[in-house]
Amino acid sequence: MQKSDSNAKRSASSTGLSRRAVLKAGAAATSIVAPSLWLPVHAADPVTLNYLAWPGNADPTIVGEFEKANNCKIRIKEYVGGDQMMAVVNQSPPGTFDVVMADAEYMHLLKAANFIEELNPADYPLKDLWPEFQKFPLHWFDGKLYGVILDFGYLGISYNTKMFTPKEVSSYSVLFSEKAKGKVGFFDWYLPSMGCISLSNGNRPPFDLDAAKFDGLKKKMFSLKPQAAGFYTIADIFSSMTNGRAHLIPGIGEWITLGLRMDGVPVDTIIPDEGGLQYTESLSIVKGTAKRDLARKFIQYSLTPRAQVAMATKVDNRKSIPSIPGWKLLNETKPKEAEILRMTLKGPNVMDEYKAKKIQLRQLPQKQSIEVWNDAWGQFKAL
Amino acid sequence: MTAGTPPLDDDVDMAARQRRTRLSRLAQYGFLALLFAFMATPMLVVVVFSFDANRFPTIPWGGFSLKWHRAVLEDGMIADAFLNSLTVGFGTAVISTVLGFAAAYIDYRWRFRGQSAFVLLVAMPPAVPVTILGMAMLAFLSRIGLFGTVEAIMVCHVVLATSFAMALIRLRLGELGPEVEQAAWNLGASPSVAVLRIVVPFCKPALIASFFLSAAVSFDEFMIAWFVGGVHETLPVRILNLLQGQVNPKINAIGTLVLVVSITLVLLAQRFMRVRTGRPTATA
Amino acid sequence: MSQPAEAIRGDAVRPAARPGRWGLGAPNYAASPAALPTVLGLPVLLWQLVFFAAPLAFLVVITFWQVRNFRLEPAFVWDNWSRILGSDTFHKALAHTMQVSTITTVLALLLAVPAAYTIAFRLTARQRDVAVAALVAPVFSSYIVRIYAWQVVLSPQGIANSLISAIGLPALPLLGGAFSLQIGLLTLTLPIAVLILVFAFSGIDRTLVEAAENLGCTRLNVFLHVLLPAIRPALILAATTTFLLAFGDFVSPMFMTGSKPPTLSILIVDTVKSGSQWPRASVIGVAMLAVLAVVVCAGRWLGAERRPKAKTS
Repeated sequence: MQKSDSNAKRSASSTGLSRRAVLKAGAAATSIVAPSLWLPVHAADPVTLNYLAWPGNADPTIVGEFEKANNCKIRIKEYVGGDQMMAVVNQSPPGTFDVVMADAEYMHLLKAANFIEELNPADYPLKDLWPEFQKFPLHWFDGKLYGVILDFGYLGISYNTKMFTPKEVSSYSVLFSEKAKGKVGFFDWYLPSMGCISLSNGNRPPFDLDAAKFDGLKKKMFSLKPQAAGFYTIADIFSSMTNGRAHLIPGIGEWITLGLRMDGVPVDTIIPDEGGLQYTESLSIVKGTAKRDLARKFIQYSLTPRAQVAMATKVDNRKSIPSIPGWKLLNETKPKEAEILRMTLKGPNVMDEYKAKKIQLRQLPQKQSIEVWNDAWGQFKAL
Repeated sequence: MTAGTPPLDDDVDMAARQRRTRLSRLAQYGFLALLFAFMATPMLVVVVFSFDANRFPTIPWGGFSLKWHRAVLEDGMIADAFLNSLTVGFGTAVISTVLGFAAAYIDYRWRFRGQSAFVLLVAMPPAVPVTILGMAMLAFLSRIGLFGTVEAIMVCHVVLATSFAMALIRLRLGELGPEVEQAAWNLGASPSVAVLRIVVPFCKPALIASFFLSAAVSFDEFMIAWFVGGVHETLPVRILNLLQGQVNPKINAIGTLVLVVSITLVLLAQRFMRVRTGRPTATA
Repeated sequence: MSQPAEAIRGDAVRPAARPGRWGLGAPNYAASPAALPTVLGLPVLLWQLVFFAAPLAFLVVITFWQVRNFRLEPAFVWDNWSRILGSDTFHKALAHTMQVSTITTVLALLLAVPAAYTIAFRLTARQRDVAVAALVAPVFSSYIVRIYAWQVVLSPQGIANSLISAIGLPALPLLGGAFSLQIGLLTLTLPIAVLILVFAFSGIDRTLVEAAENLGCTRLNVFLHVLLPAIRPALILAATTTFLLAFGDFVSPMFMTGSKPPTLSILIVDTVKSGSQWPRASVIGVAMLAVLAVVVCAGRWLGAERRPKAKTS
């Protein structure tokens, strides 16, 4: 039976065979050539600007205008957590990236890795920023500017408003309460999480700890284990606050809860009495880039009022913006949003917490190495 | 059984046994149904909620909407990732099928020292946890400068997929009696011609099945692609990054798309390889 | 010409691939010129060596290297090994991963055996084809997305709990613990386990079953004393595969339990993401491979220990 099968096949495909061989060879060749077909060949094709940033920052609502005006395409490589950023930075050959968005506390690491270029302050509208941000200390080294602030936000405790009242969450001690058992989620990044726990221990500044204080921090953190619901990715933070898996998450802020709240989920963020952290995102030009001009234009564009408003009103991950003209534009064009974002010009707004000194800048660990803090976090996870 | 006579013991036994059989059959079918329901549930949820108007998949249902599907089609990064997936998948399928055939044929035709080592070398990759494999490949490839390209992803996927291709083709070759090739040699064909004109056509179903299966393996693989791809994302890597980086209601819509493509590829592969059941193992 | 022909004939009459029976005896090359096997064999061999064996070997090498300023530098230190093997976190992760994988393996077998039996013996050929297709499809379709979907089903306000509260019961904490983790891992492993067993059951010689029934065995006895022993190798294969997959998985523990506690694969990813500690991650990887090698060997030893009583070839 098999013989006749193969006989029949042989006669049927004797011509098909050579066709097959040709097809196979052609397919193999195409598959090797194909990837290069996707590379831009003509000069008229858009230039690609390679952008290393947190997720969601190449959204068309933010960068679309820039892309059209400059006939370019922003290609983003996303990272979660400054350590991941450093990893990518150190493994990529020069020229891989043109612009980098970094958390301000990582700037000095980027400079040490010789990854970023010096910027000319005259190129950027620094005078348009709130006075607190005009000469942001983390961006200047030896009197030279290396990064420009893009946006910022506060980190405290995000909580489910149906389960907890604002009074209850006015202190980090709520994390240890019986009510919160098994319902405290964590953002799986040691820096903001341990920073907030450090604040709850009364450490100000929270990242500058001697050995004894650091031990105290570890002890306090480990005591939180029975309360923990899990260690979440960013997407899981959103979903766990939405579907009730977690009722409290420290170390995050309105960048999570604002979008959720506007979608009807009963969540809010509070800066507890012990204080909160501020994260600051900044743009820098990467050393070795071939598109320095375009990169500079991109940073300038990001500080224009329109881009700043787009950043503030992004659907997820809403940020606070540092540009005063941006605030003005926001209040003119989207007054309702301005109120929700607490960026109104009259009345209480996000700058108040800053002025009331409730906010500590998020920093890298000062007296211990990153590794030591990371290891502690790993131990906490494995408990 | 005539009316009026009392039932015989044997008949009573038989009736009881028939009832037991029917019950146990029912239980078996029921169990099977539950199992398939278990496997189908996540896929159904993905498809159903991809049409949910809500941003987050919650109960109650937010109303029917196509906006997420539309958003997926308009998203540039997803389009790029999809193209990358297609390129890598196609390349993987072609190369794996060729290499898999070579490996299977060598295994079938000759006996040589180190044969089991050779087979093991080709068959082993799926047994290594992908995290480890991905990490090893990344470290090695970046050392030799191949890191961060679409070609790198394809090369690594071939390592995985060749194993499946070899297994499939070897199965099919097991049905080819040696007399066929010998007849060809006796008639004057050189071994290479015999391979090309006899063995390859005979293996056609397995070759096609390997093609689609390798494409499916590559299309669904995310860990190695995540490690090795650098700036270039394939679709599963995009999904993984979305799930790590931000909430995104498009995930269900992308998931539906991926499910449709994967299932199509697998069913196509299926069509060319049938399960032989109930036959005695001694070949007819 | 007869010698190579014999070798080939002997080769093809042998039943489906059973590794270990080849490679015995003197090397026996076909009379055809060595060009063909070289042309066929060299590309595959080289490819696997360069892109599979070399990276794994390199992994072992890296375990002795160091990382300075996020950059990998060649060195020869035992520090990575001592640090990881001595670390509490690693021990906990190892214990947890082993425990979880073992549970998954047991559950998968318990569920797969009856299911495979039903498919192989109680369905018509047509139904069987459909069942097999329905099993193969999930194996290759976006595992991550399906796990994400389980979140929707199992979360405190998800589908399952909505149904439960609809009948008046309090909401159950389905998500975040061992239950959801096993559901996730079974989603990964169950289809494959069932498939392996279906193929195994299908390959059993029906005449053996008939003989046993003719001799008066009940169906249960047939199952226990004829079928199960006959598919012993397949049972071992299914168990080993399930264990392998569950042991190396990173998606289910991350998304179903929120990495609480982390498994070894999550540990690898964490070690890499924070500070690019490739050497340490490689140590974890090599340790995992060692454990898996032991498990696979144990499986083969279990499978080869006794000859199956009911010979099927």
